[in-house]
Amino acid sequence: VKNAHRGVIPGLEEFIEEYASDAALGRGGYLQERGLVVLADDMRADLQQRLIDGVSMDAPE
Amino acid sequence: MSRPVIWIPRRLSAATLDRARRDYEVIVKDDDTPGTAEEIVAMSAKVDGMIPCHSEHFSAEVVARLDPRLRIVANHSVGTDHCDLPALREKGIAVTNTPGVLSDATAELAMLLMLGAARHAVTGDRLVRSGAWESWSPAFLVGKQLSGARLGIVGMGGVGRALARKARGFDMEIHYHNRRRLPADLEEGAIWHESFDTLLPVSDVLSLNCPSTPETLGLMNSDRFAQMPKGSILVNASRGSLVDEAALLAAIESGHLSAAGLDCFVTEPGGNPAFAAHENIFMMPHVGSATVKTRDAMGFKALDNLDAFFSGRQPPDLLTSATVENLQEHSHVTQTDRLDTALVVVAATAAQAQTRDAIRIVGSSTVFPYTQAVAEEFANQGGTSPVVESTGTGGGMQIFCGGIGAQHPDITGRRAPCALRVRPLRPERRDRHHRGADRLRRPVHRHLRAPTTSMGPHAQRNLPRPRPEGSGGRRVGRQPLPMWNEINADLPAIPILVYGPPPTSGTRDAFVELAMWRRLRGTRLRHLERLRRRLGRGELLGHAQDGPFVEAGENDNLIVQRLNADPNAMGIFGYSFLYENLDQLKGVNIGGVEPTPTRSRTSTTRSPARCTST
Repeated sequence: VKNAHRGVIPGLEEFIEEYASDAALGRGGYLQERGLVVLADDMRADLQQRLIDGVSMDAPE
Repeated sequence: MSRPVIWIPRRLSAATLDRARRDYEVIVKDDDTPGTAEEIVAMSAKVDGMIPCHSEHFSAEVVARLDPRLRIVANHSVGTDHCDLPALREKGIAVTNTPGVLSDATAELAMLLMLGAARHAVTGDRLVRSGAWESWSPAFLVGKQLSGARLGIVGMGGVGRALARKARGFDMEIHYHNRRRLPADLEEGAIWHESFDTLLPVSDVLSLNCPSTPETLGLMNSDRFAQMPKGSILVNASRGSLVDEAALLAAIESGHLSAAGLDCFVTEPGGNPAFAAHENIFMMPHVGSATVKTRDAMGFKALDNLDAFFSGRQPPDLLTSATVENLQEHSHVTQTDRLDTALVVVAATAAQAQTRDAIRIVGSSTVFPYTQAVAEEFANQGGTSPVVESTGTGGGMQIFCGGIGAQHPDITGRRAPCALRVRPLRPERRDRHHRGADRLRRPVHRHLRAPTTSMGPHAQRNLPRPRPEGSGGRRVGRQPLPMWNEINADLPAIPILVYGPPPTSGTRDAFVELAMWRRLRGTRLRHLERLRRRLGRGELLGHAQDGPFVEAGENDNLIVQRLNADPNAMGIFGYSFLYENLDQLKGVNIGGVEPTPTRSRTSTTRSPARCTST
């Protein structure tokens, strides 16, 4: 996700919230039905938090 | 003095026939079928001149049998490869053609071929026409855009230059190869390549517009196709003999060429039946010059040549062998461009890019179905439906890192961290790249399914585990085995053909990591273990490109299409793509293990068979 686009492109923030939601990528979520392997609870919570907060990735090595 | 008698074997335009009958005694072949050798020889004793088309063949053998009465062959074509010119000259028969007047019509057809090939015209027409058009998605029939692409023109004669002018209206960058560089006023900014070999790698679309001569026979062979950019398009509105059709077929099947547009074939009429299996080959039945305006102009030119000849003057388009070689330079163009419509289309596209209000997402084709599912849910909740494109992991990252702004995507999807695969950007772009890249989020899907082997809908095949040496299996080494039954005698005796993703693809990464590398680590097969020790992981990232493994583009939809075309072929997918296409694909059972959601966990790959390797 390009953070510079957040708050600029209409709906991007809401879309990310939807993607990060338990309903989507959580256990029993609709992405699991489609074959997604759900992350362990702690990893998923960490991922969701970083997605919502817009935490930057480490620079590629 | 009685009027000369001429034979017109094919149905020329009404205006041409009217004028011919006014000035000559005309014998018309009423059934409009190609004149045979016997007919040509028989008619030569009855007429003073002929107006044949490229369907009448004046081979040396035919020319030797011609009656001395025949004095001129005024061709109704610009190409003269159907005439043995030295034999005709030896016999003292004048030969003319119709240069210049076909340029615009033929160039327009070349544009049609280019657009039809680039935008899936065959598939699109079939879907609508057959009533099979039942859904739409942002990834549906996504084609190649011509604006900004590089057009390589081989032969910058009348047709080549007319094509260049039309293509400029589509904002294409024009490159050309001609034996001689054109003067600046004819070149109009096109970039000259003295060598054909430097033109090929810069041609996103390559258009053949040179005449058929002994030198250009089989001009496009497998070596030349290999020099074209991956995903490029071949257009041939000149002559079929310029192309090695087997090599073209191989380039299409391997995905090296994304499409082709052909108006001419080695065998005409009829074409090449093997091309019919590929809807990305857009074909027309050699009708490059078939417009009313051009047919009249061609007929009149042939009659102008006859008029001059029979009044004792030199025909304006008299040919000798020497002038055939200079056909490109002799051609000239008289008509003006009509590009208003095309320019309006281009302008509209540009305007859309400036005013985007939907989220734009690119990236991995494996992540694509998940992102699309979220996009659908998002739209159901009242949001504007995001535009999700399946570009492949590598392609997506390139586009994503193009910059910040409405013309650049907001999100790219990938299966696992893949920064290693991003091609380094040029220094001047690096700052911009970092402004975007340091904001990249870690991917959502670190634990998508492992790749899955799938095959076409009708095939029934299960793969047993490979057998170690000495127990009925053959050695699996660097040399690819061509047949399945050579790997294991229980498998059918059919050629191995596996379509899989290229090295920039996330699916390929996963395949190497989970199938090739991890499988080797646990293997008891002595030779594989030795291979693993000798090569290390880096070497194992490579696949042979000339064997049964065919890189089929980053977009898994292309692999689905190929499996549909060949039920005996196999493909390597992310599991989600098998799920998406269960109506068309069949998962392959390997060593008794079916590809199912629980079987394709990446984290506990103890089972041998989520994947297969050739």
